[in-house]
Amino acid sequence: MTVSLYERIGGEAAVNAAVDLFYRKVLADDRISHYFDTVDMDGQRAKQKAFLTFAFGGPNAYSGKDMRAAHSKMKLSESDFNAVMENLGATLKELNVPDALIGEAAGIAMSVKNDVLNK
Amino acid sequence: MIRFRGRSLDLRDGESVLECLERSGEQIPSSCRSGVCQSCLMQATSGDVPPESQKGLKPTLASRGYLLACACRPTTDLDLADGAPPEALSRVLETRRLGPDVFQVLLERPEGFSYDAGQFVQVVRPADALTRPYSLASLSSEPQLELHVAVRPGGNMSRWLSEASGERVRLRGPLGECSYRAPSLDASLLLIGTGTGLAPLLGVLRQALARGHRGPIALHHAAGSVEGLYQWGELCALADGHSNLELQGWVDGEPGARCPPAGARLRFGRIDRQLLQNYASIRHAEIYLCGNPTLVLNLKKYAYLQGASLDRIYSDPFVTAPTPAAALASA
Repeated sequence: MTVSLYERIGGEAAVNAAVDLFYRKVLADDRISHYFDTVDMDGQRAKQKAFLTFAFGGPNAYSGKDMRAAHSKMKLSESDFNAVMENLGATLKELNVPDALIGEAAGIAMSVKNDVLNK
Repeated sequence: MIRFRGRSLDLRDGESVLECLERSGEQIPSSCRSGVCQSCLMQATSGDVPPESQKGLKPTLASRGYLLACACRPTTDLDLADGAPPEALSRVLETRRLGPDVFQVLLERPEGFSYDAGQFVQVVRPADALTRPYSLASLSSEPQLELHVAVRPGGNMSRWLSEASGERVRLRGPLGECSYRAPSLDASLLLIGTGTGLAPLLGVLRQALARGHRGPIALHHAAGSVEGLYQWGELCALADGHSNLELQGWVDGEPGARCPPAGARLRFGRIDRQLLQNYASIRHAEIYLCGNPTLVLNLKKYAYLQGASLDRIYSDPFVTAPTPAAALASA
């Protein structure tokens, strides 16, 4: 039996290490930061945590349908999606996650691309 | 569908519970209408409560189905009850002008009413149940509750309160998390507020000093004019008496003919995020942001980007109630 990506990447501890790095990166990214303009930063942070848990192949991952519903009104473009992917990659690099695992996480995130972009 | 006071009501597309109840003629206390002030607190006795309608509620309230009607767009049927927490009776003892449009309002402390300085209460006007939130600048050990009321054109409650000596009011609360909660007496405190955002900050500051806080405390108060920095003299005296307290006033405007009371502590210009950049211990500071909602959000975001922990940022955006056009016209 293979060990899941979530376990190999470091589980909840990895998510906790990544969430502030990642959320700060997207907030500071002028290409996409306006999507994150909200009073409720604590709620936003919780969403980033859920997203990272999902990308790391962890439990309570949401479905493609949830992803579609959550993003349908935002009219996101391909380049918005790519910007998030870049920030995800940079976060994991900064945490010294091996390239192979980064690739796996990116693959999971890519799997909901059409849902996020409402295609 | 929602059920309330024996009626079954259908929600229109995108409508909040508050909007639906009001459209149906129900009188529900509300103020900010954006999920912040907690005036429209209700309780669901059955059905799924949307998490976004419980933001900022204490876990003890959230677990019992309390929700904010203005932020509640249910996905299942909901049975609702008035969720108003117990009210205490109080009386306006005294009102005093502190600045061009700021009044200090002292209230009788109801028997057994305990709170942490910096939290807020809902003040309810008995005649028409008009409800507005105000922060507590006083200490819980004091016999009176101190509010700072910004009187605005068309401000139904604020204009009344500023001349309400002797009037009875009802109080709900205390609410909110803006209070002194430093993990150690040596922690760094950064207090930033605009206008009457000074009230909760004063509460936090007074509590910190009363506890013997030793760590550095920086208090920044911003206003549109020198006179808007109300209680400036008292604050200067406080800073003179405490070497760990650094005071900075910000006036968004030009120095007027009247000379500002203190030089080094006063700056002319808009308060902005630069001050966070120069704040060395931001990663470990307890940060309090109160007042203008836009500034509060900007500073919160920037403090976080500078490395502050969201768990240590206490923000109290003063979201004012929408003013009816008629009230503005008559002001």
